[in-house]
Amino acid sequence: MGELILILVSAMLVTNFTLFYFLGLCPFMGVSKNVGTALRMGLANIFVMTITSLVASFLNLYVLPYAPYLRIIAFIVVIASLVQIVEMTIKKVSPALFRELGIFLPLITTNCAILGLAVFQTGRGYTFVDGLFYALGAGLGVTLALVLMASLREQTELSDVPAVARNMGLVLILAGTLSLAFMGFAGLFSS
Amino acid sequence: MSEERREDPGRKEADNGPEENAPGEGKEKEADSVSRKEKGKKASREDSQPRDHELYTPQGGGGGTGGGSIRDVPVTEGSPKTGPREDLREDVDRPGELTLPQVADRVVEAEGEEEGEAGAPPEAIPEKEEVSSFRLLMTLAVAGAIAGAVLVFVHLWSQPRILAYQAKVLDQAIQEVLKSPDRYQTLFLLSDSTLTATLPEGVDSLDENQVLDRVYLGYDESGNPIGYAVQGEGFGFQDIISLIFGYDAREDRVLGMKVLSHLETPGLGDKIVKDTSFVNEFNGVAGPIEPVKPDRNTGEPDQVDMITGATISSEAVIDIINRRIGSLGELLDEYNPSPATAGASVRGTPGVPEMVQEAAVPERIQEAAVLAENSGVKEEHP
Amino acid sequence: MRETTPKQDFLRGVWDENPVLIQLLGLCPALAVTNTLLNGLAMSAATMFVLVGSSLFVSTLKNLIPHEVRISTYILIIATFVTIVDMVMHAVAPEVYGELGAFIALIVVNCMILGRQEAFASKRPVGRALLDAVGTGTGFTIAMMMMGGFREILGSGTLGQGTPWVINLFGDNFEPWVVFISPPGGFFTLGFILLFLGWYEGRKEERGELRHWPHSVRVPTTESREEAA
Repeated sequence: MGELILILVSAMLVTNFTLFYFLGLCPFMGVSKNVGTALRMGLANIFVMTITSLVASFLNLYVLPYAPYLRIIAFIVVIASLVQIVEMTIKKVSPALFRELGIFLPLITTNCAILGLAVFQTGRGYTFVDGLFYALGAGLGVTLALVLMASLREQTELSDVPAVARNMGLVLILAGTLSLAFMGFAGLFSS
Repeated sequence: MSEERREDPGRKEADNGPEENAPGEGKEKEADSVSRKEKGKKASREDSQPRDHELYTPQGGGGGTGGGSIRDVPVTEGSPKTGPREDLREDVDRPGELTLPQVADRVVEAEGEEEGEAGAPPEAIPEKEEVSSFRLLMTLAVAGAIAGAVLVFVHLWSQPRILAYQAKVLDQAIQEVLKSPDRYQTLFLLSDSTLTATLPEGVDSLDENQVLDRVYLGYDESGNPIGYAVQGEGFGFQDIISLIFGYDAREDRVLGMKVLSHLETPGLGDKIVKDTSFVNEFNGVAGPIEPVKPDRNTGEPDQVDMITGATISSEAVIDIINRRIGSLGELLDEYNPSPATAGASVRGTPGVPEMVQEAAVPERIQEAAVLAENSGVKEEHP
Repeated sequence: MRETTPKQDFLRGVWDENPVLIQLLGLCPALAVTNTLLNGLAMSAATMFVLVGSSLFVSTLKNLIPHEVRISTYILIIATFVTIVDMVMHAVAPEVYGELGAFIALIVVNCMILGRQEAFASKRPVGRALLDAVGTGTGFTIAMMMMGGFREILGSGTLGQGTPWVINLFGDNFEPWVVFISPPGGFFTLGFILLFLGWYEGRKEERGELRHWPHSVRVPTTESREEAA
């Protein structure tokens, strides 16, 4: 269990998927100055990542040994289709939940973070359970980054930002500072 | 938070009322009408305030690029997409075009669809004629088949080269950590904790459950065993460090160490690779290794100076080695290799003997293709 | 759609609608693998290959692909090319491949590529699609070179690390600004570049040549460029 917690926390903090691996930047840059939206986006992320993790483990174990070169195609196609199906299911089963999360699902299905998760996870040879915790950690990390960024941007809305920075320059500098802060988590688990 | 889009302080929220009632009810129809209402309201609010997407709208593909004019940037609100089934398109992130109102659009559009495979929805644009599902399926199938065929060819071409390279890297590493043995032999660690040079019947070398690990036993020119090259990995400062080290089991000494892959801090942690004096400390150090700060080194044979500014990375390396020695040391010590026969002395060459299926083996452990030596010697664990 | 000249189709992707610097697409690889110039170039070469190849195919086959499944097919085509470049690079340049790691695989979700297919290649003849692809790829390469160069120069004090022609720019006593090679450095570098662009375009706007773009990065209108020319 300790091992699993290590995987989870390190994926969340030490190698944060957004701030360390640069995955999932499109929504990160875009998702707003609204903490609520960011949170929901993050939760949808966690959801998709967990599913992806299971699917990727499954594919890696049973399908890919026969055709390792189909890895990328298989991942992307299966993940996209699966999330589609899940989205439709949620819509039918629980419209409330769908209204909360569902509309973000297509937005994040094939974004870098999800495919990146699949690729990293299989590259490390994680088992089903390892992969699940890894995905949870990654998702939590992405959510954390999203929420932090959203709150920062909410603040900057009220500040006097110089004209040159009024484009994404400011957002990136903020992101860089966040990333710098997260570097402090390195060494959290030392032997 | 049971309502969407209401927390933003800058937005006028005049229309929460009717929406409040809808969420509790599970009827699709109502969800439908709510979404439509929300979409309508979104539309009116669009123009009054700067929306998120306006601050970062990437041109993406759908923007005015078709006409070459940047002026046609769509301030996106329910902007006509080029097709009804945008779910897959949205899979690619283009935040500017995929704000909530448009997503709500799709929710509405998608309502009437049947479940089914992604990519074969009923056509909603009137001017297009109905395309048969068969045709859709065929397109995908044909595309898939062609793609698969092409990939098979490229795979067949590239795989031998990749394996050869991996074998070469591993070979180099073994040469380094065993200090240039004349040749070396692969030993398989089986699931019953025995070490053997030849696989017993029915054991698949690629099956991770049966063959837990491999170590490499090096011999010098006279056929005497030098030591074992053992791989190990563990958590470093930032992420996993993977290394290989040479180990003389008889005398409980490490012969040398090489880091194979790591993600340590460039300039600091990566000194475990770049600082040659650190790497050389492992030559001949007695196990188990004790990490010490450079000024506290008392000259004991089992001490290794840590790198200043990279203590955690250094400690991680040492810890990995110690743990491997701990788990394999006895086994290696007890293993009795017979002196090599002349006919089998071939220097460990990077060949391509085993077509390792990469997906079955973690790439980090560069298994691929080290020639199993000494086919004539059947050595079993006593 | 306005008619555009071939030259416009090409140049558009290079600067005016530079995928990384203006449209902010494809940021994942741009930030992740630009720790050295070589890595940046290698990634942009791979991306260019995928972009051109898939544009070629999409444009050629656009009439055969039914509307409903076009996205899936595009993704399939793109993924195939990405897998090809992945395997080829692994076989031919394994050291560089090791540096780039899993990010080659992530080319397939690079928004820029699918965007070009969707917006352009699927609607235009092959020649134009090719120009557009090459132009966008060139723009991407330029951005990657800017970032990779900047980060490597400040972060390692060298240029050309990984190639046989490494130049040590500042001598041995230079203490490299390691932050630029690490993750925050990627963000900062792109941020600085955008800040510079913002300043530069802001000056142009003062001179009345530009039009405010929702993105807030000003971009020259065709007229003002013609004036300047």
